[in-house]
Amino acid sequence: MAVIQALNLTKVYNESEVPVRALHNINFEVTDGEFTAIVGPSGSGKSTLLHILGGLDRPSEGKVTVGGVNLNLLSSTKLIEFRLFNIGFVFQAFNLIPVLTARENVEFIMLLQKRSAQERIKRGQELLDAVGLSNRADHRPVQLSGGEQQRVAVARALASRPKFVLADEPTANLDSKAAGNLLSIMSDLNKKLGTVFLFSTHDERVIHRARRVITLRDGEIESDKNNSR
Amino acid sequence: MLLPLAWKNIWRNKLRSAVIITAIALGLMCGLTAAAIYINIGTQMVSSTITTGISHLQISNPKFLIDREVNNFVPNAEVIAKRIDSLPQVAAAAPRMLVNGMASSPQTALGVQITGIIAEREKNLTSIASSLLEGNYFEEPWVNQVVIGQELARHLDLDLGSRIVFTFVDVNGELTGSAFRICGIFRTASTQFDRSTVYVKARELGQLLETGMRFQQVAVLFTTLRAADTSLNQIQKIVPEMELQTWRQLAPQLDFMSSSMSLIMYIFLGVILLTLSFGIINTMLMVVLERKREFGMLMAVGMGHKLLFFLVTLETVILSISGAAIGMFLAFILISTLNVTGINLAALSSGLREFGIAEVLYPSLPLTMYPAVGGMVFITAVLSAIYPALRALRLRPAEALRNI
Ligand SMILES: Nc1ncnc2c1ncn2[C@@H]1O[C@H](COP(=O)(O)OP(=O)(O)OP(=O)(O)O)[C@@H](O)[C@H]1O
Ligand SMILES: [Mg+2]
Repeated sequence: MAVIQALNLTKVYNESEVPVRALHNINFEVTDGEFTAIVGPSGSGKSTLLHILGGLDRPSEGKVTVGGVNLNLLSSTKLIEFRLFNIGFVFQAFNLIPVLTARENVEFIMLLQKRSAQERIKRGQELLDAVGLSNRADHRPVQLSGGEQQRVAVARALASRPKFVLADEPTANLDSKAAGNLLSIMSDLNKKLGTVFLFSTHDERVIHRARRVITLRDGEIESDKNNSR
Repeated sequence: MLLPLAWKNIWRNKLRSAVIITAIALGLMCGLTAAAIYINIGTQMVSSTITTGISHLQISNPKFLIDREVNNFVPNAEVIAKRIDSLPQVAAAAPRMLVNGMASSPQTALGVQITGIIAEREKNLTSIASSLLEGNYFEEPWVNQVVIGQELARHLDLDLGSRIVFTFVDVNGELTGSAFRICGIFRTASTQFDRSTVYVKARELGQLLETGMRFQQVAVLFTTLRAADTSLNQIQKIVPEMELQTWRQLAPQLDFMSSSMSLIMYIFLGVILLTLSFGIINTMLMVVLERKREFGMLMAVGMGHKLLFFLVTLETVILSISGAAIGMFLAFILISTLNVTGINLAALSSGLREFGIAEVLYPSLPLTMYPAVGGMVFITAVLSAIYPALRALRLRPAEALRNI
């Protein structure tokens, strides 16, 4: 079943002045359980695509449906709520609230969802266990390494029980070991929980981890392959 | 749920938060202390004017107010005074003879109001008996005793026991006069009063005026200012023919001061808070700019506009209220201390006394002012938060996150 559908997505920045065509006529579907990488050189439109799929930005043309809901039809207030309950995010950096501990950061998203304290504590603990950070749960982001911070971000993204997790260059600031470790964790969680992961990267070291690789060039899909492993 | 987060966020930049908290604390401490001083000046002016001279209420023959002739007296003034004195809300009431005249010494002469009094009655009405610098209040054995102000004594170059000659017009329109001997010299908060008012015994003055015990005025002092305002009808019934003048009519500038005092104080504190609000807005704008990415991230992961607005407002309110709490606490300590020690303005006092302000101020602030100011700070904080919070909401998460 299709979790995400992108239909004729086109994004033009700066339409009034010097138009920049970041995406052109993108069509694809993401189905249940996928672990997919979006790759391509810098400026090829990876971030733009992820932002539009995640409802952080609106396409100039075309539409995105998530679980059958057309994001174009949601007001910006509704879109925020939609993101809270349907989409998990992992960014390249600045994922966490600096004054909160790892545990509090993971629980915060469930607090926004108004989940019970009991559920927050239980799920927070499970997810920190899953990303291997239960012993660092009470550390604040500055006390964690870059890789650990990104693992907390993955736990946070999953805490809201989203339909899929979008990760824009989650390993860009990490060394190979930490990057490999993060990808293993993401891949394990994808298998264990069945949550869809869609991550962008131009990091050759992690591309092979994806089971499907969509390659962008100049805002268009150049190739869309399944990695046979 | 946002409260602990807001509190922690405030301490992210300790120096910046400390600076704005200090600014608010100092601003409020100084503002409240100044208000306490001003209010004390006001109440002292009001009470000293009332207790030294005009009292709360003056009962006069309406004709006397048009034509200050001794014949326009209050009939049965002594009986009326006794009756009014017996009312529970009245502290004292006493009849007074009033005549304008000239006071002369061998050196010079000055116009004065000669007030004929019954000493033991007047004692309860005015604070003159307790404001004596030298001498006593009509306790000498001699006839024609007079109590005068220090300022008059200085002008006429007279001492205790000196002779002073009063000249005035008697009931028949004849110029008359007599020599008196100074038995006491008083000093009130007002030099003007001390220069122009003298007290003699009513019996002696009545003889000179050839009116006997006829009084031009009954002065009344109530137990409280409020009683003074609410008892007018009752008094008027006792003296239906007479004219009542309250201290508010007799000293309209004081009435204005007393009734506008708290309003002026709130405006004054409001101006201080307005000034501080620019500091608060500036601080919070810096906070929002600095945390652009964080706010972008929070909106991206699903924090709604209302909550984000609330978070920024909450941080502003906590910051401001912390400053206000410290400021009010310091103000309370400072005012309480000054209230005990007093602020001695002796160096400036000769000038201040022209306005009827005492030399030593004892600042005090009505306790109700603290919660009221707390409320004002809260409102200021909420209003100051609006612009920075709107700036935070204007962030577009996709753009905020790109600028990494
Ligand atoms: N706000 C914007 N205004 C104008 N042009 C933009 C804006 N954001 C992105 N672009 C342009 O759109 C194109 C795609 O950018 P995007 O950030 O999506 O690429 P990317 O594949 O994520 O690159 P990178 O690997 O460097 O992150 C680029 O040419 C970029 O310059
Ligand atoms: Mg990018």
